[in-house]
Amino acid sequence: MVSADVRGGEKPSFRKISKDKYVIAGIITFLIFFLGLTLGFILEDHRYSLIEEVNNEQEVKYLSLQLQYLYLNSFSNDNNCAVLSTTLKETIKDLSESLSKVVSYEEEKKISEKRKEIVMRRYIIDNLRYWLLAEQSREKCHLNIVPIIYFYATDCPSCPNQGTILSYYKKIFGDKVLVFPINLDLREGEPMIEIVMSQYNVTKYPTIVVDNTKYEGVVDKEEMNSIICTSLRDSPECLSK
Amino acid sequence: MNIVVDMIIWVAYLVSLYFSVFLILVYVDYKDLFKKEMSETSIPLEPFISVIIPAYNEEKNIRKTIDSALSLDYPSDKIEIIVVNHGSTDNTGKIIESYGTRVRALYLTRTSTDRKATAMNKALKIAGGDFFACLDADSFVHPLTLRKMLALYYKENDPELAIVTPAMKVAEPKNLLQKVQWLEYLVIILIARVTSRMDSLYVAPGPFSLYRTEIIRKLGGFDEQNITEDQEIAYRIQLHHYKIKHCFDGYVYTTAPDEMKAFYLQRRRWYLGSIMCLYQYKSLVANKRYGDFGMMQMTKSTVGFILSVVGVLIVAYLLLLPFFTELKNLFLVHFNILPYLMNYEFKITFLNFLQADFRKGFIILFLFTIGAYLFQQAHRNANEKMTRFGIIPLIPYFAYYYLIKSIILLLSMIEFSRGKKVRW
Repeated sequence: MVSADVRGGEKPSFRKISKDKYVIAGIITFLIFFLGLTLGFILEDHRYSLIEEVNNEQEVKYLSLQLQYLYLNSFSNDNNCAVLSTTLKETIKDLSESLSKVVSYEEEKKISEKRKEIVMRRYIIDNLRYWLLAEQSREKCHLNIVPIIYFYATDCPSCPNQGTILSYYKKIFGDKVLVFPINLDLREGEPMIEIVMSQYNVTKYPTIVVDNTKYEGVVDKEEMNSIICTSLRDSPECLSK
Repeated sequence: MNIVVDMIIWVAYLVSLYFSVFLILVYVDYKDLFKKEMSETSIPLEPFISVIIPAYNEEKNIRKTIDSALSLDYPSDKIEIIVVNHGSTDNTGKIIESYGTRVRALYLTRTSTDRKATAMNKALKIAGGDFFACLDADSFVHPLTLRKMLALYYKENDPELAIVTPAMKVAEPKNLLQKVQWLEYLVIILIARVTSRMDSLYVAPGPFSLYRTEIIRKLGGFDEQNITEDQEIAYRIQLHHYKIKHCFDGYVYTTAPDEMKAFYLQRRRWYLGSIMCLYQYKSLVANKRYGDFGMMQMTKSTVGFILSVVGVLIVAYLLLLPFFTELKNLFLVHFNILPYLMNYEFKITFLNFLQADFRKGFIILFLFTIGAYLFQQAHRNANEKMTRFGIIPLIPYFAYYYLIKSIILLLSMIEFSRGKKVRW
C-alpha cells in the first residue's frame, strides 16, 4: 500500500493548480462543441431543402409520365410505348436512388420527427402511384417488367433479409425488376396503405406481391428467382439458369 | 445508431478534446521560452557519478552500451560504471570481464522473482555517486547528455529535485515498426517537456534517468515487486513532493522492438505496470495537494485508460456490426457476389456528402489538427525532419498505430482485473 507522504505538512509551494488553463480549456472545448452543433444544424437545414428539391423533381417527372400514359390511352397508339417504358424505368430508378437515401437519414434520426413523417409518407405515396402506373403501362404496352410490392416494418427482424434478397435480384435483373417498398409503420397516417393492405389481405410482414399473388414471410433466393422468371418473358438472366 | 453508444461517443470526444486543448494551451504558453531554451554543457562542479548498467543475457548490446557510458564527456576519476551481471547464462559475463578495471562488475545470481529493480537496489548499495544513472543494456547514451542533465540540476538549484529524465530516441530504426516508434518517441519528448513545466512527470525512463542518490536511498530504493519500477519510482517521488524535471535535449538512444510479438510484450508490461501504479497511487487522483500533477495529470492518466478502452470498443462496434450484417447478407444470397461486382456502381453525390455526421466530424477534425500540430512541433523540438524515413511510417502512425496501442492496453486491463481477482 502507499505510505503517507514522508514529509507531511502543508502543500509545497511548487504545487500549483493552473486553474485559469482548466477553465479556458473548458471554454474552448465548449466553443468547438457548439460551433460543431451549429454547423450541424445549418447543414441539416440545407439537407432538408435538398430533399425538397429531389421531391419536386420527382413530382415533375411523375406528371410527365402520367401525361404520357393518358396520351397513350386516349389515342391507343402503341408506337409511343418505347418512350413511356424508358421514362418509367428511369424515373423509378431515380426514385429508389434518391429517396432511399432520404430514408436512410430517417433511420439514423437525423431529421426531426415531423419532417420525417412527411418525407416518409411522401415516399410511400410516390411508390404506390409508380406501382400503379407500372402495372397499367405493363398491360397497355406489354412491357417486360416485374413490379413487386414489398411490405415491411421497422420492428421486423427478418425484413432486412428480404430486403437483401430483393436488392440482389435488382442487381441481376436491373430495370426489369421494379421493387416498391411500403413501410407499414406509417399506416396510421396514410390511408392508402390500408387500402392496398386490405386489397391483398396483408396481415404479416415481410410480404411481397407479384402479379396479384401474395407471398408471406421471407421468400428465399431460389423461390424468388422462380417467381421473377415466371413473370418475365424470355429474360436472358432466366434462360441461362 | 444506438442512443447509448451515441452518448458514449459524444462524451469520449469531448473529454479527449478537453485534454488536448489543455495540452496545447500549456504548450503555447511556453512556446517562446522553448525556442530560446538551451541546455548548458558547462557545470560549476563535477560531482561523483555512478552509472549502473543492469544486464541479463545482453551479449548482443552490452558492449555498445558500456562503450557509450565510457565515452561520456566527464572526467574518468569522477565517474564509475557499475555493470550488474544479473545471472546471465550467455556471454555477457565474459564481455564485462574484458573491460577489466574500467568498469566495476557486480555478479548476482538470479532467482525467479528477481527483476531489474533487484539488480538496481544491489548496485545502489555500493554506488558512490552523489547522483546515479541507470542505463538499460539495450540503450546508448549521447556523450554530452550527462553534462546537460547535471547542468539542469545546477540551474534548478533545488535540493528537492530528485530525478532528471532524458529525451529518448529510437536507436537506428530499420523496419517500419521501429520507424513508427521513432515518430512516437519524438512526440513523447515534446509532451515530457511540457509536462515537466507543470511538475507532472510520472515516469523516469530506464535508459539514463539521473537520480539524486540521497533521495532515492531515503525513499528505500526501487520497488522490487513492481514490473515497471521506472514508473513506480516517479510516482513515489511525486507522492513525497520531490521534483522530476525533463532534459529536453539530453538524448539517449534505445533499441525499439523490431517485431510485433516483442512490441506487444513490451507494451503489455508498460501498460500493465501503468495500471498497477495508477491503482497503487489512486489517492493522488484529483488530489488538490498535488497541484497540476494530481488535478490534471493523474486525472488525465485515469481517464486516458478508460478512453482508450472505450475507443477500442467503439471501433469494434462500428466495424464488426456492419461486418456481421454483410456476412449475413452474403449468406442469404448463397455467397454469390458476382451480380454485385458486375453491376457495381460507385457514385458520390452531394447527398452522400451531406449524410456525414458533421457535428462529430467537426470535433474529430479538431482533434486531428491538434495531433498533427503537436506532431509537427515535436519534430521541430527534437531537430528532426518529419520525412526523415519517408512518408510511409506516417501512414500507420496516423491511421492505426494508436488503435493497436489501445488494443494492447485493453488486453492489459483485462489481465489486470483477472490478476486482481486471483489475489483476492
